[in-house]
Amino acid sequence: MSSASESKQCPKCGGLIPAEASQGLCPKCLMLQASLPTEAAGGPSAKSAPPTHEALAAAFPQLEILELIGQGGMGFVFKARQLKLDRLVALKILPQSLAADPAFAERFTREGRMLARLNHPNIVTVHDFGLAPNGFFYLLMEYVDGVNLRQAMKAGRFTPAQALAIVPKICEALQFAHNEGILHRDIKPENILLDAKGRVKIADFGIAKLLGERRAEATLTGAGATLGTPNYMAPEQIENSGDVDHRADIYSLGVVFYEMLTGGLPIGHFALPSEKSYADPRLDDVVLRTLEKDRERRTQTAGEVKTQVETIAGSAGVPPLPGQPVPATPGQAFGKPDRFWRRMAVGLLLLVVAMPIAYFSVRSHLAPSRAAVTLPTAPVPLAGAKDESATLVMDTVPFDLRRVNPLFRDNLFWEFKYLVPAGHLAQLLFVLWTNGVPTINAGFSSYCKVGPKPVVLENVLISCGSVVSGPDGVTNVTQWNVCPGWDGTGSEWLSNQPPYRKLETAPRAVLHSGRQVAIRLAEFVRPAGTVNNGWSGVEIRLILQPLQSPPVRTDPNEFDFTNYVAGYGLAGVSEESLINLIKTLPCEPTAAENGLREPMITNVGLAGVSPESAELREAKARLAQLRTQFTETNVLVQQLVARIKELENK
Amino acid sequence: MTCSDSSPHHAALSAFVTTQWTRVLEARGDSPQARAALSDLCAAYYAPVLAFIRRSAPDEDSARDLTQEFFARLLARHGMEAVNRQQGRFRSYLLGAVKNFLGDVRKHDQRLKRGAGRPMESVDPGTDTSPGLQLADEHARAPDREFDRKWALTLLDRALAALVREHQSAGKSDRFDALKPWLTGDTENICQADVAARLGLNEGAVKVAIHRLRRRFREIIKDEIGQTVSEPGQVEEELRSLLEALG
Repeated sequence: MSSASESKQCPKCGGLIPAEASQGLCPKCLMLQASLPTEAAGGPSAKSAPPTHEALAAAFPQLEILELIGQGGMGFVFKARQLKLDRLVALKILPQSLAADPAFAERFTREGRMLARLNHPNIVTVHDFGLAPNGFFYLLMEYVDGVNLRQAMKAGRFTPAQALAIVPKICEALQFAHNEGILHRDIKPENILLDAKGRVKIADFGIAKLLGERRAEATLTGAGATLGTPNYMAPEQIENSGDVDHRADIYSLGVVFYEMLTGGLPIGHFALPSEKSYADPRLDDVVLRTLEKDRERRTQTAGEVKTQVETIAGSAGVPPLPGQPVPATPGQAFGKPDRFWRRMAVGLLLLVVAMPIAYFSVRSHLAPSRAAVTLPTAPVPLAGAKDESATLVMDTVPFDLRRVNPLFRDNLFWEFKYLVPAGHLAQLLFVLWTNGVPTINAGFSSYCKVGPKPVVLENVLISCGSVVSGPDGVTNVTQWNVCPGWDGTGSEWLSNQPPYRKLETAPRAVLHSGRQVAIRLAEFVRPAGTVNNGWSGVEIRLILQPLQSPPVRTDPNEFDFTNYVAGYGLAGVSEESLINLIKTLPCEPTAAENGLREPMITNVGLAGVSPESAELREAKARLAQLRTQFTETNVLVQQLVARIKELENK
Repeated sequence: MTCSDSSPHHAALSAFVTTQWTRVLEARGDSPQARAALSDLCAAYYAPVLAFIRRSAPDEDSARDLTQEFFARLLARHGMEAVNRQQGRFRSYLLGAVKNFLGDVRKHDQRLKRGAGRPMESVDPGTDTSPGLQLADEHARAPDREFDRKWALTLLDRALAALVREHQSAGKSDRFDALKPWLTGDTENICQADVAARLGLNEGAVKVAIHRLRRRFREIIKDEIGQTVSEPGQVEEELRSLLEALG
């Protein structure tokens, strides 16, 4: 009786039940049950359960049943291994109640043969179908190792720009099937699969019809459910499912396309894709024509949709599908000013964040780099860079989320994220002001060079820690931490600083001539009549510049990710150009009083020094030596502390 | 008509109008009720914090010590000035707080090691100002995920425990034990007729009992989640996040 609880594997989802699971029940299935709407859940007339492993094993001796990978109104899908061919397959078991319908077997055979003929790279192949000995109607299909479009959109791994790469593939598949006289009838994100190699595969061709006829009959008896997914159905399909042709599929495709671009459904009086998502306005017309209520006015063939999309995509530069190799040569993604791409990038962020409070365009005005201070293999040819505007979106989070760490109420703690559009360098500069002199602290600065996909750098943390009140009542900041957001760790700097006051309001962003943003983090109070020897302000500056070639790792200290390269310090940008930039945006409250003096760069690090230089080698050796000394001292201190404790205890 | 007639969960539901988390938020942690509420919440979600800290602590013991320290500081400070309703969920708040805590512990360690605040000799800031930096890898987010997963497990655990208590007090523990497999959905491994025979009920009554058990489970889960969010509308969203966390 308790056989179910002895197994470590969940009999329902096939997943492993963790040891800490309460009552020995599968947490995933429990949570899934809990998230069902109360009315529809379970009850005396619960939906049919998936067939058991034993029943399947008996019915399909040629297969090794691995796990349940999907279920819905159209039955259950299992991942299985075809033993003889040693290949993975998907086994779809149609609802068992079908066996009660004698006419179904004949129809199934007829349709099954047609489906098995659909041989196209973008259509999930049907290997076999039939009626298993114990009454399961089944389809044996190609197994697609990947995710469906719904999952991809939810997981955020899907960028709107990829819609332009995916839609033509769907069109090809539809056109092919339509030529064979087969309609899909249930195009929706769940049926569009993206495999690990970035290929698009449409699943469940014709299944809706197969089951639909049966459901239509069931409806007459009052027991049937709504056929298909109404949101994706063409008007004529909803009104009279008997009278549909291939143009119903085109309507459904339009809904999917719209959803990919905007994240929403075209219901009621809906916004144009370009209004909602920064999509190319030319796409509006393409999408609207697929969504025409009257099918006579709709785009008539899937092939036409494909052509229209490709024309627009061709002029906008289509990114590779996920998993496809990034082109190594500049040009495809970087070659031309790419307004469309940029808007897509922003669209992505808009999907990610609720409401950006400030956005502005950034133009590259940097002076040509001085040869002497750029990295040897200058990855960022700023000189001669196109004067292309880019868009930087500061998230809402940064300023609203400025918060005082509840554990250490005197501390300051800011968190924000920022978008780096495709093909851009984002330089995060840490700027300190002292008596009107801005100092770029290279050690705290960081950068990120982004490839063909935009990157949202999250969890950028800036905290000012250990604010202490001295015996004289003077508050001191002893520590700053900057965490650029790509590795979750922070860098730190220790120093004792002069009187300091935290800004009572959120840090403010100062926009200036569309080139950079300065975020004033804190100000340091100067006692009246004194000259401040320490800082008077702390800022973070964000500067965006277009890249002209895909980012490559040029320094062993850089972090190399698939789509971007990031590092601490200053990117291969000349000192002079940075200083010029800072000069254009004086934010120092006392600048007028003191006059803005020449900015400085401290802790220049690798920015101005060749990694091979003798100077750097020497510095590193010296550092290693110091570290050893510190470690030794530390051990010594620890021993002393232990000894003191020991003595105290006595 | 007596008091004992009212089902236990109705009384519980009415108590949830003001949730524990909203109580904390409204008083900014600064009333006795808010402190008690925060304390209850922290006690309930001890496990996810321990799981998170365990990922960065050298061993189990240090993780427990650090977790104790974390909660001690959190509860002692009850400084919630920066917390506002918009910040939403208790889960996010606690994760943020524990990250800050660990960050501070780390900084503290490094500070002592590195000369206790003496000015540093800056030679190679590329490494000097970023001590202990580790290259990000694909597991970088694992502690966050583990936190959420553990949170979901804790929630389920609490809900099931509440369900068990309710059945015990009603003298129906047998029924719960027999019917609990259906909490995860329909099952073919166990025959409802057998269960009906064992419980001395007819099959229809078993179906109804399963339906009620599931409905009650869902209610408890949603109430539990309701305690940790600031808006009723966030319950469904939180439920989805937790489902994903278990995936």
